[in-house]
This record gives sequence, C-alpha cells and structure tokens, in this order.
Amino acid sequence: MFKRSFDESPALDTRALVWMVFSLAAAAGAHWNHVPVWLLGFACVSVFWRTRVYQGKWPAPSTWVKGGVMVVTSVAYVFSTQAQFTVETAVGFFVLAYALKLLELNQRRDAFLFSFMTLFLLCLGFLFTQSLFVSLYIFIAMGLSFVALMAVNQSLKSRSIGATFKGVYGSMAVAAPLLIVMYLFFPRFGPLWAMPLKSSTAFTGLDETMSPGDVANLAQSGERAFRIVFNGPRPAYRDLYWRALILDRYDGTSWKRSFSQTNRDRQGAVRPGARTQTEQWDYEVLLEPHNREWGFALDDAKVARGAPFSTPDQLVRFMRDVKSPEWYRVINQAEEYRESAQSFARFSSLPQGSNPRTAEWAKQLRETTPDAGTFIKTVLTRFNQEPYAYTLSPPLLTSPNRIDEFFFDTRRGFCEHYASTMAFILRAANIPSRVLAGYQGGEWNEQGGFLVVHQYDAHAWVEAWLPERGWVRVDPTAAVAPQRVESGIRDAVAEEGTFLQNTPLSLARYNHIGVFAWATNNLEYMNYMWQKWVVNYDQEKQSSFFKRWFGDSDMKTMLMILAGVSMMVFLVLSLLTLKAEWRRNKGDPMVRLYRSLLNRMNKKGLLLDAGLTPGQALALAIKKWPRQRKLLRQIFSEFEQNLYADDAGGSPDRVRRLKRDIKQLALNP
Amino acid sequence: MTTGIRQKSGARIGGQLGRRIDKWVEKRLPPVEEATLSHRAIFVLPTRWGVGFLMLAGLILLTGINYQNSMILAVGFFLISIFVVNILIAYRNMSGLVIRFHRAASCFSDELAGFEFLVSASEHGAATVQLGWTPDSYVTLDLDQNGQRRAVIEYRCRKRGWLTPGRMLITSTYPMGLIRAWSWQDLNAKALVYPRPATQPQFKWSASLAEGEGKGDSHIVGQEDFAGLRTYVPGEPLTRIAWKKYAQQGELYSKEFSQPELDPDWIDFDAYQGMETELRLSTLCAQILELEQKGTPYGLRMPGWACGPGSGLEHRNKCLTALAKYPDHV
Repeated sequence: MFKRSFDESPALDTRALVWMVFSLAAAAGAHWNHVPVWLLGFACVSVFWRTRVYQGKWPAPSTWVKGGVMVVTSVAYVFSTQAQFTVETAVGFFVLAYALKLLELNQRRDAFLFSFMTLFLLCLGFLFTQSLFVSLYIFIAMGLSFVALMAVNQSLKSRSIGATFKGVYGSMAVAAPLLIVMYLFFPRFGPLWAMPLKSSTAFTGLDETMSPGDVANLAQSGERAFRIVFNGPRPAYRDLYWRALILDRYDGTSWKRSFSQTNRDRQGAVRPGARTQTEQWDYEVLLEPHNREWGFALDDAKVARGAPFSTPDQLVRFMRDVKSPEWYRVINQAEEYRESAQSFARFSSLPQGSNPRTAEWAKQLRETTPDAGTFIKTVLTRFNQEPYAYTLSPPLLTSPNRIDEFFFDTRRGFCEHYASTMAFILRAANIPSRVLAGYQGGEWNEQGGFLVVHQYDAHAWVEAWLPERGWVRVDPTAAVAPQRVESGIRDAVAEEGTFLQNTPLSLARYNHIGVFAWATNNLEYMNYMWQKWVVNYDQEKQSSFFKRWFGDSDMKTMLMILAGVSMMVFLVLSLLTLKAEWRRNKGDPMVRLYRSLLNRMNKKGLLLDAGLTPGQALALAIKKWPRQRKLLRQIFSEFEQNLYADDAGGSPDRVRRLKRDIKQLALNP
Repeated sequence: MTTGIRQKSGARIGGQLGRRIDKWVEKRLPPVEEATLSHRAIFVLPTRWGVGFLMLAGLILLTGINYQNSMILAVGFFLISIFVVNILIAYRNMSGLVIRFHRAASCFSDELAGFEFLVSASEHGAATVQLGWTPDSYVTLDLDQNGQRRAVIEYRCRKRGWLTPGRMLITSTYPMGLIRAWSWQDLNAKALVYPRPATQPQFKWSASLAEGEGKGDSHIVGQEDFAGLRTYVPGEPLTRIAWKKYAQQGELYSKEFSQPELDPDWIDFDAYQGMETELRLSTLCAQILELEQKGTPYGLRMPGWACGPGSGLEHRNKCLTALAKYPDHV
C-alpha cells in the first residue's frame, strides 16, 4: 500500500504577496470611475498595512481590529452610497470586501480565494463598458492575476519574470481558439431570471423631463450615444434629427410626457411592408447601453430588423431597458396618419395663466397672421433678428413665469430654452405642438463610413401640427445659432469656448487639433468594428451565422455542434502536446526495433530489464532458447554495432535486414 | 506514521476502492529501474482549486447571460479555455521526465535514510515537480531543459534490514495549482538499515574472557599497557599515533601495546545468550561503535560468520551490515 494523498504546504511566500498586490491594483483600477474615491484610498491603505505586517514592522491585526475595520468601512460605505442598492454600489461593496480580504491574506487558501475575487472583479468591469480598449485592459489584467496564481502555487521559483509572462500570455494565446469556438457556438438565450440589481447611472444626455432654466451649466459628456451606418444615400447634416422622446405636457416649469403619450410609446406599429417609393433612408443603428427603453431614429422611421419596435409616433422603443449594445435597422417610410380630437387637446393645452406676457404676445401675433406657416416663420425671424444668444451657460431663470423671463428679458439659452418657448408660443396661438428630445447631428467617421453621435449632441426641438402637412419639425435653435444644426455644437459655441468645459480630459475636446482628430477617428473606427463584429454577436446574429453554415438549427443541434467543434480544437491541442512524447517514443528505428524484440521476449517469459546491455540480454536469451543460438548471436551483434554507433540508427537497408532476421526467430519453449 | 500535519486534501481513498486502485497501479506500472513518464504513467485530475475555478467560470457565465453581456460571457469561456490549457500544460510539465534511483546511504534504525534520485527533464521543456513518499518528505525540484538534478529524499527507518519504501509519488500542480498531474513509480529504491545502537548497553565479551577475569576492563588495561613504538601503517586508528613523536621527528609512529592474554576485541553474538534478538543486535551495534570510536581493532563473531579483527569505516560497515542482515548475514 502506497500513499495516495497530496499534501500542500499552507504557507504563502513574499513573491505571491507582491503579485497579489499587483493584481489588486489592476482589478481596482478597472473600477476607478464607478466606485467612491475613498474606497480606492482604502485599498491603498490596506496594501500599505499588509506590507508593513509582512515586513514585521507592524503586528498582524487581531480579529477584533479586523472586525472593527470591517464594520467601520461597511457603515461608511452604506452612508456614502445613501444605502442605494444598484450595480454600482454592489461592485463598490465587492471592492471593499476585496480590499479587506487582503488584510487577512495569510495562507494559500486565502490567496486562491483572493485571486478568484480578482478575476471576478475584473469581469464585472464589463457591466459598465465593453469597448475594445476596456476589453484589452481586462484581458491583460487577467494575465496578471494568472501570474499571481502561479506565484501562489510557487511555480515562479526557478523562472525569470520575463519567461513567466511569456508563458502566461502564451497559454492565453493557446486558449484563444477554444474561447472563440465557445463564443461563436454557445447558444445565446435570454436572461434566466431578472437580476435584482439595476445600474443607477443613466448613460444618456437625455432626460424625460425638460425644465430650462434649472441649470446654469449644461453638463456635457463626450461619450458615444450610438453609431449609424447608412445603406445608400446619407441625409444632409442639418436633417440629422434623431428622435427619442415626445414631451407633450407643460406644467408651467417643465415639459414631460403625459400618460397618454407614455401609453402610446408602448404600442407597436406594424413593421414596414415592401419597399416603397417614398422610402428615403435605410440605416443601421448600433446603440450603446443607456438603461432606458428608447431607441433613436430619423423622422418617419420604421424598424425593419432587430429587437426594438416602432411606435405609432415613429419612435423606436425596446421591450426592456437597454443594458448591452443593441443593433437595429431602420428604414424611412412616410405614412399618412391621423391624430384624434383627443390628441389635439393634449397638444394644445397649457396651464391656466402661465407666462401671461408671452401668451398675450402670441395671441396678438396670431390675430395679425392667421396662417400657421407664416406665423411660425415670423416667430423664427424674431429669434433670428432680435438679440437672442445661444450659450451653454445661460443665467438661471428664477421667476415663476420662466418663459416670460427668458423670452423678453434674459434672451440667452440653449436648445431647451428655445424649444420650450417655441412650443409654448405655438400652443398659446392655438397651433398644436410638442417638444421633441433626442440628438442632432453627429460626427462622420469617413474611414468606417459611419456616423457617431455623442452625448453632447443631445438636442431639443419642436414639432407643430399643420392640418395640410401633418407634423412639421420646427427648430428655433437653428434660427438663433445656425451652426448648431449645420455643423454641430462644437462650432456653435466655438467663441464661447464652453464645449466640453467640464471634462478637460475628453479627447473629443481637442478634436480641432489635427493629430487628435486623426487618432480619435481611428480609435473610433477600431472600436466600432469591435462592437459591430464581436460585442454585438447576439441571438439574432448567431442564428444567421448558424443558418449560413449549418442550416436551420435548434438548441440541441447547436449544443452538439459546440461540443463537436470544441472537441476538435481540444484534440488538436492534445496532439500538439503529445507530439514531443510521440517523437521521443518513436525515436530511432534501430532502438524501436530493439525494444520491440525485448518486448516480444518478455512476453515469451524471459524477463529482461531495460537497463541490460545487449550482451547481457543475449546471454540470457541464449540460456532460454539454446537452439536459436546462432540467429540470436547474429541479431544481437548487429544491434550492438548499430545501437551505439555515432551515426545511430543505421541505414534503412540494415534495419530491413534485421527485421527479416527477427521474423525468422522462433521463440518457442 | 508521519509527524507532519495531515491536511484534508487531494485524493485520499481508503478501503475497498483504495486496494483496487493499488492493484491496478501495480499492474499498470510495474517496478522499473528507470522511469520515463509518458501517457501510460501520468494521471491528471483537477485540484479543489481547479473545481473552484470552474465554479467561478460558471458564475461568470450566469452573470453574462442574465445581464446579456457578451464580454462577460467571453470571460467565462476564457476561464474554461484557460482551465483546459492548464490540463495540457500540467501534463506536458510531467511528460518525458526521467527518474532513476541512484543510491542510498545506510543509516541506523529510527534515523532518516537519504535516498538519492536522479531526475532529468525532457528536451522540450523545463519542469517543476515534487517527489517523495510521505508529505513531510516531499522534495521540490525545478528542472531546466535537459538538466539533470539530484534529489535526496529522506525517509524515516523503522526497522533493521533492507528498507524498501516502495512506490513513490511524483507530482506537480504546475502552473496555477488548478490541475494536479502525478505518477506513482516503484524504482526499486532500497537502503540498508543498521540496528539502533542500544542506549545503555551491558557489554559482555567472549565466553572465554567472561570466565577468567572481571567484566571487560581487561582490554582497557591492556591498551594502557604500553609496549613501544613502531612505524605507522596507514589504516591504523589515528588514536594510536604517537603525536608527540611526530611533533619531534616529523614521522608517524604507532604506539604498540602489549597484547593481553585473552582476546578482548572479539565482539561475540553468542556472548549475549538469552537476550531478545533485536536488543542483542542493538547492543552489538553499540559495542562496535564504541570500539570504533576508541580506535581499538575489533572483530565480530556471528553464528556461522566472523569478520576481523580490524578497524576503520569499511570494517565497521561490514560488521554493521552483518548485524543489519541477520539472520541472512551469511
């Protein structure tokens, strides 16, 4: 009976601790922008503390101290997050637990657990963004935690750091084909259960309520909202109005969605039929997750493919909040539609006695210009001719009649101010109107042939109902600052210098410098390709992929294909691993022949040891089979000459002759 | 059996199944002089951390599915792939390893015997392995490409005679501790274990002596009975050299003592009639060691065998070997 247990030493060495700290830095770094800053500070403190303990400068913290630190930091964390329970706070709490775990990292057991936590924390980074660069960072950082695992396993002793890294990233490269196979073939399906944790951050520059005058500085963000590829002709820049929300109710300070509008936004309209003559644009949208149900499209949009649907108001809506990048295709189809009398009431109502000066002004103007189209033009001319200014840092509006204050007094504001005022004036003049929120413009990436729309392109405008033309877009901002809709917000505020003023680190801010423009353009292009081809590989793309290569497949077939292809890859990898052994075993033909002869003799009852020289083996063999003496001598002398010759192996001719001799050998007792 | 702390880890299978595995391994891997590890001899299983790693991958996949997040799914697949690659690396690390038993120094019972093994990695790569019989004796080796290393594994001797620790474990969790690759090899390692020297020995001498004078003092008297000097013959105990003379003349002389009438330097197995055999051998052993230390030439008489008189390490080992092998010493 021999021993069958594998016992390991529980101790942890310095090297392991150092690599643990490195991987902690990498994993915490992946979350620097969505956990409280003090949490990262605490992680640094715990690294420092653990190092001092390791050096023996400070005593190891007792259970009481550790427990105290845990309670204090947890309570502090709950307070600093106002006890919200979202994805961000959960990740933050995980970071906290992770930093605390470092304090009691004493044994191999803890170290393994810690490494697993590192890997999990790294992968949670993808909850927030899945861009190419974040993906690269996370995968490289995972390599670092594999090195840490090797250090824990004491596999680094005799190897240099360079060789270790080469080994780890080499094995990651070997793992890549298997990863690709699983990524392609693993059947995609919907969530198994609804996750209780939702993300608190809305990654969008849009809001469901619009109250101009509330903020003195428009918060801008250089983040991407979505990308568009046009199949066929592109619209002019000034027609790029990406509609998302209809705000139809004004309560005196802000514009909101009424309940009837909210309900209407949930209704699906029919999908487009055959292509028609009126169809103008055909484009695909690659949407970044923004945690809302909204999609974005130009006027008269009909969703042709993808998860979302079109509402009767030609808006794009998803069934669920968008939590991962989504793709859909839209075509434009103008369609006659009617508004019921009830709807008109909704688009014409104003709160009683609100903004009396403006209302009075509108009524008077309507009396002199009864034609709705002319009326609109007149108002726009006023915006254009009078000293109205487009600015991203307007004065706050404090009076209860904000529109009056803006329209007659301050006269400085951005799209929300103008849209709000315009819609109000139209309603006061008995022209049904509604405020539209969405994005305007975008940035062309000529290399990729797509348009990128950023958060700072967020815009608000107005639609007015003209009985003979239906809903007509009216953009008062265009009257005030034509550059805003002709070439984008950057040019509109170029003099003011307020573009992305709150985010000095944003690359987009420096896009007027040639090199930066070139770099952002190229990075954007790579990122787009990544999102389009890799991240966006979803159920739909997968089924079309399967259809192309394997015909119609149900879940069972898909799983079988997955298993089959994975096995094939694994087989190839295994054969590569076994190649060295196979070659070694094969060795030189003379040696093989000799071995096989000994094996044969062993089977016949002559127990020969592999360590014996041919001479010794011969003596034993002759003793056993005296009759074959002559042949045995001949064979063994041939072996002796060839096995130990410098040009070991002998000519194929000799091997053949020897084989023949061996065949003649009759090893019968 | 071992003093080391036993951990609950790895595959400890007892009872029926354990015996079955023993038999199967015995048949599959018969004892050899030199073992080259190949697919026949290498076994691979995940460690508990490997199982944990797979569970982590599963958790990540669940997260990816429920949040409909492609890249989290990719991480899950990636961890599974890394696990698979680890299996291959673990195998490759062991494959082609050549191990042979080199030698073992003899030792006294209850001491640690050192077994020397020669281990060399295959031409295609370096290796990190542990080998040994019991957990507290595991030796970790880091082998370079084509490099040969000597591993000395200590094993506690329990009994006098030939010690054959038997099947040894060659194992490794390289690279990340997720996968354990191992092999069991019986390399015919053996060491000769001398009896443990008795702690409070009651020396007796040859029967003839015991009848004549008192107990064993005579040889000490005899030693002090200085007779003269003669030229030193290499091999004689150093304690006999006349160092003063050497200091004066620069030549080595041995002190000659008058031979006592009786022959006190014969250590005799038969002198300890009626004693329990192991104790008897222990006492003989202690006697040999004492005389060897004093530098007195001595001989050993065993039933049907005698050696000596003489002194020196070689002589001592010859006598101790006879004790160790008793009753097969002839």
